[in-house]
Amino acid sequence: MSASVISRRRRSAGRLATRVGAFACAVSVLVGCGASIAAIDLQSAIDDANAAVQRAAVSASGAQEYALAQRLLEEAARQQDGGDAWASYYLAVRAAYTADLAAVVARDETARRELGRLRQDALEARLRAAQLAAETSDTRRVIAETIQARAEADAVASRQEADRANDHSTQIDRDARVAIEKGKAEAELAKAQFLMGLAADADAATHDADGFGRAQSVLAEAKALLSSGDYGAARLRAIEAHRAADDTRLTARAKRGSQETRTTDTRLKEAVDAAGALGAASAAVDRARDAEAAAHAPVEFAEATNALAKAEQAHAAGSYPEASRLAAAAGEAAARAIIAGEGAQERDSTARRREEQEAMVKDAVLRVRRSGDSLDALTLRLSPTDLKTARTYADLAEAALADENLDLAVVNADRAHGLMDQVERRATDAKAVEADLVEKAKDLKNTQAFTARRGVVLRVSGDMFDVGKTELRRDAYPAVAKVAAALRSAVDAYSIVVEGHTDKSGDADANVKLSQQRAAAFMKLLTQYLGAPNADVKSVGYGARQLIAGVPVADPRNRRIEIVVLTRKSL
Amino acid sequence: MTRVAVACALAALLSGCASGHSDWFRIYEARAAVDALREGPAASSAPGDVERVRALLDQAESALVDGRRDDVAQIAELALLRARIVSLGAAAEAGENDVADAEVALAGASRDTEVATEQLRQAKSELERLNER
Repeated sequence: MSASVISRRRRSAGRLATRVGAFACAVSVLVGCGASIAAIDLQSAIDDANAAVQRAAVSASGAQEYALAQRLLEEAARQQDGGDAWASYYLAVRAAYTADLAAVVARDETARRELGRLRQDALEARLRAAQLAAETSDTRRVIAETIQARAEADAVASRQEADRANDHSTQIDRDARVAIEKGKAEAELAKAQFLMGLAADADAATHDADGFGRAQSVLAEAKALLSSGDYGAARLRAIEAHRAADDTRLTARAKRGSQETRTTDTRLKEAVDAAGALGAASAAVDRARDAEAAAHAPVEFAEATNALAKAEQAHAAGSYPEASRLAAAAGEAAARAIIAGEGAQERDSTARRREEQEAMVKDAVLRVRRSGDSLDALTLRLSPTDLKTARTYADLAEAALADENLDLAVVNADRAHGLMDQVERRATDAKAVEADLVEKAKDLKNTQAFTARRGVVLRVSGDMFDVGKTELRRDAYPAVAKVAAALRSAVDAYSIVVEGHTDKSGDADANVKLSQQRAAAFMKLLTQYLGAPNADVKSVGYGARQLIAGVPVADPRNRRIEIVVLTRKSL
Repeated sequence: MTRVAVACALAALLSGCASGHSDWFRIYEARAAVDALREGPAASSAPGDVERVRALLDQAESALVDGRRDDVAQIAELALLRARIVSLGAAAEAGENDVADAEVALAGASRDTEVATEQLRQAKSELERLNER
């Protein structure tokens, strides 16, 4: 109903009421106390009719009833002219009732219209929510697929890394064998050099120049081969060299001397052989000790150390051939111990790593699964997405562990742990901000701080705006300044939304518009007080759509500004 | 007692008076309207109004017993009108309660939409971060 129609109806109702009022006065004079309708009753009926018609005039519907009420009042006036007080009374009462009927019809129609609109809005909102949920579901599926693809790629990379580590382990084995070969070659070379010294002392260069020269040449080749890293060939050359050196020394001695000398030389050679074998065996046992062979290959290590000890005893007792044989056996046992020890070390290390990784995976799964119980409500509200993603990672990790794909399980568990760390860190930060805001809010008049679903809320109530106005009252400026001071520490890291709310009185659409304009005005002043041009501050108006729970719809506390401090994902 | 008197009056009216038939019919209609009110939602939401309509009906019946035939039709008419108002008022109140419920439902749906919007934003943000890595 337009304003002009309402105004016209009001004027009409006023005129009728004036006429009927005059009629009532006339009846009271003419009929007096003895009439069947008392003057006071007639006046009361007419007043009621007048008031009812005026009330009905402001309604949007019930036009037929309203018109009838007007006609009844007019008829009452005509009955005045006819002098029928009872008829006038009856018509006035009936006019009042009809006007009431018009009002209640309008009320009913308004309720129906509003109900239809609200239901339509709710339906659209639910549809929108469903569409968003479907889109979110699609996005989550893409995320899960991306995560799965990444995890598989990472698992491949991890496997390659493991292969490289395995290759490295094999290389270590090879190095160990090479070192043993080198030791043997060096031992033979030492013997050859020693014998070359003896040959020189026997003046082999003079008495057997050719043999001495050949021995020198072979020794030089052995040294060259040792330097080049060809330890097997170097060892063979060295053996050849010390034989050549021994031969030339013996040739020189033969030319010069006696059988006794030959016997002495044979003993000497055996002693040298034994010394060389002992040196090589001792080096091999030391190396086995370094490789912790005693722990990982105790049988082989004990065999080596026992053989070495016996070899040393035989050498000390002058049993050089026996010492050489035992030393050679000690060297071989030590070599086996080294290989077994290093292999066992590698196996232990792999097993330990696997156990640690499995424990880490199980810990991640348990941590995520228990998050619903172990984390507080704020933490759960702040990071729903990360928690969902962490659950996805935990599920993938658990499935991979069940498939004995430890690499994939570790990758996913690692990510789940990372996200849970992030979730807890974010909650810690948010709690610090919340505590800070709550503490500061204690000093603010008409302001209450609490944690809502999306973040910390500062609820500012009180009359900051004049009725129907959108400009902040001057006496509300200090309150805004105090709110800005409380928010200053949070403004760099958080988004801020200023929400305007009204109570339920008045038109719903007008309330929404009013709340939007008030929130914008508050935001403008708040931003000025914050003094942070890059602050992420927005405003929104909800009208009476978000009333305070447990508070009557027309309660002034519903007229409020709420500043919502939203937690950012980057935290 | 009153009902007996009314019954007698009605019997007299039915036996020969043409205008009395019309009065009886009005009272019958008003009585039916009052009974409907007593059994309808108005009985609990506006018992005082129902009682006032019943009082009007009583006045009409008294007028019938007293032989004030002019008053009978008019008071019964008023009772009928009042009964209609009370009945419609109860319906309007029920409608307004439905409106309040619908507002709560709309607020819930709006919040669900906000939550869904936020969840979508977070999911998209998560996907962007994944793609940036």
